[in-house]
Amino acid sequence: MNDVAGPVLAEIPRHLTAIAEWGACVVYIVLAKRRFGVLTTIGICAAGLLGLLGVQLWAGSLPIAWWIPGMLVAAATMYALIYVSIDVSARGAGFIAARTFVLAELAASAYWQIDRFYADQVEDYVQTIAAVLVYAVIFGTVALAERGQFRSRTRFDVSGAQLIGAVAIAIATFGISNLSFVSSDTPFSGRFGTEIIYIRTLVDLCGYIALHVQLRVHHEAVARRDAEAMAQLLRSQHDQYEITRRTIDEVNRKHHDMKHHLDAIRSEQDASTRSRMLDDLEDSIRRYGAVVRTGNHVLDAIVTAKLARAGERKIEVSVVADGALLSFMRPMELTSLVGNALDNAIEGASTLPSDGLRMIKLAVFSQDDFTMVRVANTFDGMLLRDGDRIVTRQSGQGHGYGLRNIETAAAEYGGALSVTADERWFTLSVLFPAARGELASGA
Amino acid sequence: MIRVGIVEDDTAAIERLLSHLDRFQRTHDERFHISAFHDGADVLAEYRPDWDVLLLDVQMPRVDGMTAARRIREVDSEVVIVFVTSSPHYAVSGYEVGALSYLLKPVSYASFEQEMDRIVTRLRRQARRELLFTATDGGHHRIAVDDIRYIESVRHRVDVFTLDDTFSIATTLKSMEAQLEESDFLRCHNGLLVNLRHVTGIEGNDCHIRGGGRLPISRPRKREFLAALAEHIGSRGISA
Repeated sequence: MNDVAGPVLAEIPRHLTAIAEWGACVVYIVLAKRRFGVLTTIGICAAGLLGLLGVQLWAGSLPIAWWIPGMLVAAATMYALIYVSIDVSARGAGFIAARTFVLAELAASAYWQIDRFYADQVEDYVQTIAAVLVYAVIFGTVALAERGQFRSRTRFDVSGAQLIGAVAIAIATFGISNLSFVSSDTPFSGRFGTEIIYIRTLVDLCGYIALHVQLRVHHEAVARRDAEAMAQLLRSQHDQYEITRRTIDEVNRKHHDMKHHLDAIRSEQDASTRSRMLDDLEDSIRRYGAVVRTGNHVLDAIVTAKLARAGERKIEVSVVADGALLSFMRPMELTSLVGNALDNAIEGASTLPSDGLRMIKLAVFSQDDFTMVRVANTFDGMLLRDGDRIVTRQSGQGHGYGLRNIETAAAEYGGALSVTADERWFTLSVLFPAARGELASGA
Repeated sequence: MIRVGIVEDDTAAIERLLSHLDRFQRTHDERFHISAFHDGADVLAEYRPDWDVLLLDVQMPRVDGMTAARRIREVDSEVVIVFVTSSPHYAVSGYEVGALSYLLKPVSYASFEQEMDRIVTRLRRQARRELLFTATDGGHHRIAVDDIRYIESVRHRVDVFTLDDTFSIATTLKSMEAQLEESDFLRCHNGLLVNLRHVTGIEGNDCHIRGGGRLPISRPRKREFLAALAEHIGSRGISA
């Protein structure tokens, strides 16, 4: 390719390419959740820089036919650096490596364009410092743009389709941007010196923007889907709470009416009429019998509603709860937490035949400075796992959102979650520090 | 042999529980020693804390189940109390006496068996584990694992902090961790192995330890530590 490009287009010095590649990786290592502590990560990054410099200098010494394999080795080194330092799946690492590869090309190419424009012969170290400054500006801008897309708390993973998309964009970008260097005799090649470099920078920029937008669109779609599902669940839990609250009000009114009924019965002389009136009265109050009083109105309402649902499904429920312990929670979160937990438990217990084995035990109690909300249910022993973590035992519509809602509601107050199961019982335990919000501060 | 007390004013209900206990004995190869009382007042009279399990009716004419349970708890923190009730109303505050679930009347064998199964498992688990070791001062010691609050690694030894003493042992934290694997010990920090049963609170990045004192929880371990703590405290009581 040197014969096409001429001296103006002399190849980018290898060490500058290595620094660009390394810097691009560091951008994502800073943004995403790291595998190890700060010191270890710094050590890995230092080793990564030496590795990339070594690879580039070695690749630079190879004949031109080995240019592509050289690039592949560099890409593999970047992949390894990312995989080791970021808490990421193999697929996720590939996805990030595709971005860093294009980003490194973009930064190296942009700097080289500026360097060639001034084209003065400068000392090597001046050139390196200038390059690092230009890289820093580019990487800083990119980090700001990408900040929202990589969370520092969750392990990064992508689907196979996303990985293929990203790698395809990276390959296309790399191919088109370097086409002019390979041959000037194609419809997509530049024919003039500096123009070729400019094309390369522009194509790299477009490629990088495409990668950025790809992930952004994906995040937005996921967020929209989650928000809809969560809102739906919250709405239905809250509706149930409202219904139960009205029922309880009705019970209070009934209680008032009862006094009049009792007066009427007392004044009734005929024994058989009186007995009939008593029967009617008993019938009319029977359905109000199951209201649970825990010392927390919201908890009472939600538990009463779920008891009715469990009753329909022949599930035996035991509720031992000091509701006053949960007075620190707002009605919305409390309804979401307990409502979803009991819904999950009802689903779980319903997987068993209805011959007395369906059971749910709700307990809210305190121990030392902790408050524990525990929902245990019998189930058929079928679990869905993600690694060693139990995701949910439901499938189909609304799959997994119940547990996520519980997690969200608990996290609001610094609660920690544990899900355990043996062959008979599935237990969800949510632990809160006694004073609200304390766990959250450092979590 | 598991000692079971039934406290119930209704003879038919006693018969029912007796037949369930009998069936459980036969199917689970378990031995019960059973006594029945007709009122809370009867079980309280000359109460001695040697029962393993008490099946307590909530509504009884003279002394009701909840009152009896409160009085029993004053002298016996170990006995497993299970309320038997015709309505959830009456047992919802069972947490006051550590009764974290109850049986609904009429008690079906299926739910009785589930509950009893967990109680029996729990009673087995309670067997006290002990740790034998030679301290760095040459003394031989035998301590209850449950009494250990935490263990700290200090250069080439570990310091074991129990409820009322401290021992130094020339070993590594790793080997202590292996010895205590079956118990609820977890590292909250590289050099600290803490007994979850003695963690009494969390504040910021520290956990409070019974008997005073705080231990730091390191950031990378925090999430796992809190989840383990939730599981540990959640496993309290007979229904988990």
